[in-house]
Amino acid sequence: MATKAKQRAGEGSRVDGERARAASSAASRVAITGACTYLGQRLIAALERDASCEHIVALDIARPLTARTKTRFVRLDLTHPDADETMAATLEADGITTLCHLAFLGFPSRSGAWAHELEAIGTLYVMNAAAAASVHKVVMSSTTMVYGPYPDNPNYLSEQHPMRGLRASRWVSDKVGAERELARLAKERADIITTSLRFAPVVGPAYKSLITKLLRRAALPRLMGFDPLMQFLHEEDAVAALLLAVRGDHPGPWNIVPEGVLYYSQVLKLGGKLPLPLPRVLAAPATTALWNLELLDMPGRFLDYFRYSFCADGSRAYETMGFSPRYSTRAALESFFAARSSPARAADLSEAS
Amino acid sequence: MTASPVDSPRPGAARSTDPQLGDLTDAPFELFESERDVLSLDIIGEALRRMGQSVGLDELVRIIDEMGAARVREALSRILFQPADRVVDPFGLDVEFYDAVFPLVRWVHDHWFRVESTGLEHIPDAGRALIVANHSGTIPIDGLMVVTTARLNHPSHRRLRALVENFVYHMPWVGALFARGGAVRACQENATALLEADEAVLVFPEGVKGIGKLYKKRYRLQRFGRGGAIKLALSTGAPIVPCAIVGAEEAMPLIGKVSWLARPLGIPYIPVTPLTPLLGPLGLIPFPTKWFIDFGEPIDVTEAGADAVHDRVLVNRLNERVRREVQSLIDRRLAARRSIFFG
Repeated sequence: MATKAKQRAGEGSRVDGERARAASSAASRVAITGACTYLGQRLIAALERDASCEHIVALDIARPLTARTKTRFVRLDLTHPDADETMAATLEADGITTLCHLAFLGFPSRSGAWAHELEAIGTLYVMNAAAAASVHKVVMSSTTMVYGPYPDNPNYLSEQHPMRGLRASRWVSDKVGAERELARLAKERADIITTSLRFAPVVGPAYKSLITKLLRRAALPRLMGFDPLMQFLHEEDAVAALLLAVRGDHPGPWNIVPEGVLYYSQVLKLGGKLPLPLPRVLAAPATTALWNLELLDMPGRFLDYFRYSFCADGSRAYETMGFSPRYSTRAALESFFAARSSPARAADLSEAS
Repeated sequence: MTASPVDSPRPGAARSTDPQLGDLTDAPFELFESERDVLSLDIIGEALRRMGQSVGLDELVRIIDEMGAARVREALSRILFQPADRVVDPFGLDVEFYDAVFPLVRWVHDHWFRVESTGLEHIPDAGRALIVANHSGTIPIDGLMVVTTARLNHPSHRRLRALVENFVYHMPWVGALFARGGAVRACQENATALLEADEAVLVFPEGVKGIGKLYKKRYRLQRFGRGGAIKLALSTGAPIVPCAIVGAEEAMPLIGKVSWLARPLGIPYIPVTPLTPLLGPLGLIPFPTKWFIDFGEPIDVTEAGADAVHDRVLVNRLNERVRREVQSLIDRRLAARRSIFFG
């Protein structure tokens, strides 16, 4: 009896959800995976204040700090084999129109298999659920690192450039895998708008990732003879771009990058870092050894990102999406280096954007 | 050393005046940010910095200052290291670096090769242009001389952007130096972006085939790639300025190549010149031959329209026309030249 009642209630809410979706094409109902990531919490905070958004579903393994009245928290573990079914049911029940997939790791994991389940397979589940629930739009966060650091990269990589990633780095490969899953959904389901935002490495007072952690160190390795040009996106600009993609329809991949580039040596100077010049033949094994000893969060092959440029061309997002970054690469780094590293507080995340 | 309270923001003023000290005060807090960090690079960096202070590196620098070498040191450090405040253009050109090394390059141009150039007025004063030149001389020094001669002698002293081969960017230091001097890796995307930004771009369509040809094939133009330069001119509407470089072939005659050793180094070949067996790497110092750089009448390909990019036969015909133009500029100069070393 009880289960039947539950089923009926479920059906009822599904019907309600569909009605809500049909009735309010303007008002959005947003679901967010990885709701506890920096971007997820900032997005929830912004949508809580946004009148055009009427309902938010936060999907993660913990409750986001910025959740207020509009937000319903649903516990979801993307590494669970039933994740897609659970998620599809939630999306349908709540009449979700926009799905934001932000559940990606900021750090390479020592448990590669788990990370692969979460990022690559997790994205597969998210796309399955999006297809089953026929959402209007899927927005995914990605990174310009998917293009990979290679000496034959053009100075500015366009969105059409092949995503070569970094084969030896599972962390990067899984992000390329996630992009492939999104592209597959776009190909199979013409009725679903798919957007991928390829952010340049994000820095800022509150954002945490491998890059920000490395840049907080007093000394950084410098590969002798190599000085790539780099882009750094301010966290505020990343949030602004994400909001643009959630509020408007912008299908396809987008490079979200700041204006201006700096040489890596200039980045070190700007932060007052001590450069450790190392020949690459020594640096790679040394880094790998430190990684294996769990003294460093960076596998050796990742050093290639300090060797060759992977700057992306953001003109399409500037011109078509209307994205205008407030911080240049230099300004973003200055803001980052000026702020002391501190754990994120709810108040920081709810700041007006 | 004073410890600042954990919660207070880092004082911005102290940071900009003395970044070294700023980091020393910060370091203890950095170290305990996560347990895993404790034994990592931070400590090594901290130790190295303290060692530097205890052996008196600062003192040494101060003494050099008092000896009156302050200006030399300043200039050197600004050339060798990249100050944080310096602005680089989107392709990495560092104007201050360019101007700092220019006197040296100018000396090579004026006194070593005694470059004579004609027809520089064919490069427009402003706006996009594609300069197509022959490639020779074993190491890509010919591009440097064309850029220098334009900077010195062009009516508006234009800074040309040279597109250089891939392999330069595989090599440590060389790629970084080239990029700061304004050179850009040769590929269709970069060239298009530069031309659309109304730069004057110098290309060598022969590529590695050109600089890597043996002495017996000197001044015989190799195939002009697959017409990439023509497609660029068609799609961006840039006029093509043919350019002939005479003298570079004899500056470093290539009598052989070592490929087996070059491959692991990521370069196309290790050049063997007449002096390499005697002097080793010093054999790579070019002979002081007399150079001529001649620019021809611009060729306007825009009448064909941007759609002509897809007309393969037309692209190949235009490609051949430009190649013949450069070859005839070379032949004319060669016919007039009496001596390799005196012109």
